Amino acid sequence: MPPFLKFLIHRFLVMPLTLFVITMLLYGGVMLTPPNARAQLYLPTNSRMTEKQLANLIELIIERYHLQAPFPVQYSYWVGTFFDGTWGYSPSLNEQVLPALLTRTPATAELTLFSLLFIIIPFGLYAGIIAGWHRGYRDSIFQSVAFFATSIPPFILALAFLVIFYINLRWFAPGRLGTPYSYEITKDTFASPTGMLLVDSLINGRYDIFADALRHLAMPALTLSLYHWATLARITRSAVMAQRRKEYITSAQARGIPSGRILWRHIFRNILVSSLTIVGLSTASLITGVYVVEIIYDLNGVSEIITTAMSSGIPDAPAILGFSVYSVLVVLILMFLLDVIQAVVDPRIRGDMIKP
Amino acid sequence: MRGLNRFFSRWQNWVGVLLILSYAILAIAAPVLSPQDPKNPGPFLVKGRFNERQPQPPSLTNPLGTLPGQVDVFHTIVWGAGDALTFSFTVVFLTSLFGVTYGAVAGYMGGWVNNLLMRIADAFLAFPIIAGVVFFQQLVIMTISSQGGYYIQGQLFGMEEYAGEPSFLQTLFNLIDPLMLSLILFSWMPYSRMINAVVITLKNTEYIQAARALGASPNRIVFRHLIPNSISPAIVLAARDIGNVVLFQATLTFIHIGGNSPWGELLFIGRNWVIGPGGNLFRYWWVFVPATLAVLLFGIGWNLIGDGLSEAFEPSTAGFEKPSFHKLKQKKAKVEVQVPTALQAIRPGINPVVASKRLSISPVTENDLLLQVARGAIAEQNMDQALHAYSHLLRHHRHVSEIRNDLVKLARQFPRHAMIWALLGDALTQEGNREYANKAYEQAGKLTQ
Repeated sequence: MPPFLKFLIHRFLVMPLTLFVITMLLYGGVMLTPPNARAQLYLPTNSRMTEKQLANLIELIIERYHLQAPFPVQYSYWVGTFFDGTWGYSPSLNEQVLPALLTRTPATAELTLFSLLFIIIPFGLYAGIIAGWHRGYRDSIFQSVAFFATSIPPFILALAFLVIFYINLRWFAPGRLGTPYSYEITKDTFASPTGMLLVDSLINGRYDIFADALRHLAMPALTLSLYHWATLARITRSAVMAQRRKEYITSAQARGIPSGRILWRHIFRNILVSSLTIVGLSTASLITGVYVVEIIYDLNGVSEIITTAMSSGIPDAPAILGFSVYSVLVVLILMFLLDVIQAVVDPRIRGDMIKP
Repeated sequence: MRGLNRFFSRWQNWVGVLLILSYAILAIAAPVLSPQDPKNPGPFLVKGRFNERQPQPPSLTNPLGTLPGQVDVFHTIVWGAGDALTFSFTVVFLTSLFGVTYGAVAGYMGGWVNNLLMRIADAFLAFPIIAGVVFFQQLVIMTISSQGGYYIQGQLFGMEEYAGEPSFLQTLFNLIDPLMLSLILFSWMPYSRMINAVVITLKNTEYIQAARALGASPNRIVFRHLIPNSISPAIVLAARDIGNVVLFQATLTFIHIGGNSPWGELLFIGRNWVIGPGGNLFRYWWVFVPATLAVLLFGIGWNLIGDGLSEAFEPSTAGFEKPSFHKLKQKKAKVEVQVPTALQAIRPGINPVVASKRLSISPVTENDLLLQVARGAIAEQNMDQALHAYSHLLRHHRHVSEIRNDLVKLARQFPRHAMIWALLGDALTQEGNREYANKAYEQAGKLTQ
């Protein structure tokens, strides 16, 4: 078997099993709520019905959605919906779960990818390399900035950003897009193949929309990035410091190679892998962070599903379970992509991939 | 002890410890600083009319001002300290306990069991903690509301009207904070991974094999030998986690997803006076600044302690490499005076190898001690004793390069001592430096002829 295939199997075979166990436990938890209470979720709002009609309706709902059935039956119904591409009907969202997740994905993906590709990875690597290579005053400045970056919770940062950049300077704004533009992107003339506003506006050649989208994305992206930037930069810094002591650096210096070239040609390629591993390991906390930031800045991404499910007050099994499975899959895919990038960057990794 | 000394030689650690101590004092002195209203206990205290929206600036009666609804800021800050400390300690204690045990047992078992267990931990790592919080929150609320109670800001009301015995689940859920439960369930994995990696490398070391040969049970090996020797990174992580848990709790409280951090709730109540229409941070600073500082300093304090601990445990990796004067002085004193006098106080003129065995020094520190004994003996010009110790160390491949350095110096000082050259040869051979080793052996041979 080729090693890459072996690695794939290693990665993805245990996952369905654990997902199975976790969702089973969660579903069992949902079933602790009596069926009558769960049927409340499906009731239409502000309808005028007599007591008897209501009782009849609840009975119908319990019948229709198998709320009274024993655990294995209910759970297998849910697993069934999982495979027919709907992931179940969520009463609190009033739509099927998978389409609901997919329509909200672009906003989340935009925030995550923008922060990861344009802020966290480039700035994290750069700051870590500079601090680890030059030491001295640059390093002390970096150390204190990174320390505060890891100590500030996102909502306090968000409040501070809102006060400075939204209330006082009026540079950035919360939400996804300003009012005039949010109508324009719903028109037929605005093609939206990806759903990510930054990409779509460029495709349509609407640079004003691009600027506005960037203006709205700046605060959430900065809030999300700060913590992860600091962690990545710290790891990079210690990796650079470890590489500096290696003999190949001494030999490169002895050959008279300029220090800039040593840093960006020799050291950079060697630390890239360990740093990317850290990004991969922190994807899970990154995704949780994305949800938190979305809720704070009112971005209407995937997290909207969990806030809707939350506000209904009654456990909504399809929504919560669908959301969990979706997040797990996203984290897995991101981690996998980072692994592949690592293998592209570093040929040594390809052999190691088969190791557990 | 050396670690503790190193810990307190950095001023940053002092700051961290003082910050946390002040939170602890705040928590203990809370009933004196700001007594609770006996009719309506809890971390929130309303001073004045509840429907009065306008926040009041600090005055003598309310030292840090009030929020909309006349919630006293000072009272909540003071009582929130105790809440934050108990919450974070409970969560981190239970999390690390479970995580460490899981990782150590998995590592000790090894093989496919370890593989499977760690994969399960990975799966947990990918699970979104927010979904867990919402799920448990709703479960708890449902079980409570089905028996007539209701939750407001983490306080339980209306339960006393319920007639009849509550079920086991209901009593259990009354005791549990949903956020606490989901944090414990979904944040033990880093501990496991960390311990697991260390345990797997430790498992095959000599002292574990010795313990197994002596007939120690797996239980004893894991809990008495493996965990104590691999715990230090987990302690560092725990110290940082205590701060992070409280930050996360405050964050979730602020976005109203769950959790009942009084500090987060303060910021939630007051946020419209900072970022809402007509809000102004500079005019209503007491709405934002005290609660922010309370949360921030708590996190900063624990992060400082975490950094300090990690530096104290592994000085080389933390990056604070500049040796302080204090440290240098200590090192010198140890080498020349401490150990030999300690040994010779027990029995003068003792053979150090035998002595260190008789003193039943554990195998990890034995070699360090022996090296110090050897150096001490050189300082006292007791060459035979020193060389004996060196040869013992070399036979066990310990501290080879340090010994080589010492021997080179000795050889310069006493160039006609054959034994020194022979040992230097041994040391060089072990370092793989054949050429120089041969020269050293030749020298030794010449001197014995």
